[in-house]
Amino acid sequence: MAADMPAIELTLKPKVCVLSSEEETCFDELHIAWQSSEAMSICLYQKDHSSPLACWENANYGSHSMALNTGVSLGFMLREMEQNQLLASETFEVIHDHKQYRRARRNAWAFF
Amino acid sequence: MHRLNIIRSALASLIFGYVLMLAISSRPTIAEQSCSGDCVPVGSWHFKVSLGYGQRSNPVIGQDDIDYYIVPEISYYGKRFFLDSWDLGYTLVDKEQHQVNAILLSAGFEQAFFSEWSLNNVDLSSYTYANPNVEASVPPTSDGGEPTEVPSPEELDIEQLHERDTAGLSGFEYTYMHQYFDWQTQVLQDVTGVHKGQKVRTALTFPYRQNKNFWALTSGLTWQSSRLIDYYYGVTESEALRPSQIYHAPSSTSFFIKGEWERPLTKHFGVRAVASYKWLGKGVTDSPLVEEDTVLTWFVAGVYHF
Repeated sequence: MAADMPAIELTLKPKVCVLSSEEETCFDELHIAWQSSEAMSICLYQKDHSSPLACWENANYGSHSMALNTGVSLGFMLREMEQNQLLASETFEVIHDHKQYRRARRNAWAFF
Repeated sequence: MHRLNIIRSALASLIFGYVLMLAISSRPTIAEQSCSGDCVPVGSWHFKVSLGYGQRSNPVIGQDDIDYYIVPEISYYGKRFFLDSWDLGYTLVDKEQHQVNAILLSAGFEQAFFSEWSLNNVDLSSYTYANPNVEASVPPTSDGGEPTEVPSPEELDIEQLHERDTAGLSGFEYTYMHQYFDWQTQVLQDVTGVHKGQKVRTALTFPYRQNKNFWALTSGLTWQSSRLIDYYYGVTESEALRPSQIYHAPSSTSFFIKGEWERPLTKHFGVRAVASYKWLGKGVTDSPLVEEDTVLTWFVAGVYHF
């Protein structure tokens, strides 16, 4: 039961990647960390992936680093090992900055 | 003869308007490649204010030099539309080395020499002092002080001549951008009916960046039609106090050089300096309203980008 589970804090660093209109992919090193008030056996999953990225048994904290190569946002979840219960989730946001740029007009006769 | 001139003028305006319409309605060609160099975000307003001091010498008789304290500038760039200070335009072609703009409306500043108020200047401190109405009420000094110049009954007085209004011009602008220089040419026609004249100008700019300093040296020519010059510098039969003052100006070409320097100090604040020297055309300098052949402008200021 979720109500019986201790509070778990899941953090991502970095949490956001902003791509300009000329960029398509974020290349970065993502550092995922968690900590709990009680020792737990849990696994870290990337959303829509069946295999865990990492698992910890009877631990109060854990961390995992991975190379990022993505153009879309990625979700990460912590699940309890035995019952597969969702304990926490966070999203690495990929934001596309669609601001367009154009060349400024030259003006040889600008007043100043 | 007068009717023929009106027909010619109407035809010229029609042809000009038609060409402008065609240019605006034709499919624009915008650079496909990513922007490099002087890039601005599309759809954003930009404000900057220069606060400092500068002067522009005034070649018109009896007129004071123009002081500058605050120069506000505003710009907006759409994908093709732009507002660049006092120019409203539409980019028709934007290639790596070529840019063609339709100038929908550009303010002509020839009237600045005849008026204390200028579109580009907000003179905070000296307006009242420089206001011609206030000056006129001060009696001439006779003992020790500088004598106040009062036009003699036979001298032309700008205050008594017809009002010189600001004209709005439309036309086209072509810019060739080389690695080391820009060459820019404009062909403009008065579309506000103020003087119904034309202006063609071309200039060469050599920009140079060194660390955070931006330098630019510009030199160019401006041809102004007889109608344009005559409106500002002509003296009609009814305005002349004696026959020798009657003046109908021919078309004329002026020449200028300009040097600029700008350096950002923080994200929003920077300093700038500009100086330009203009040799007025013969059609202007021959006018009885003009007593100097050149115009010197300089301005040193702190610039705040909002």
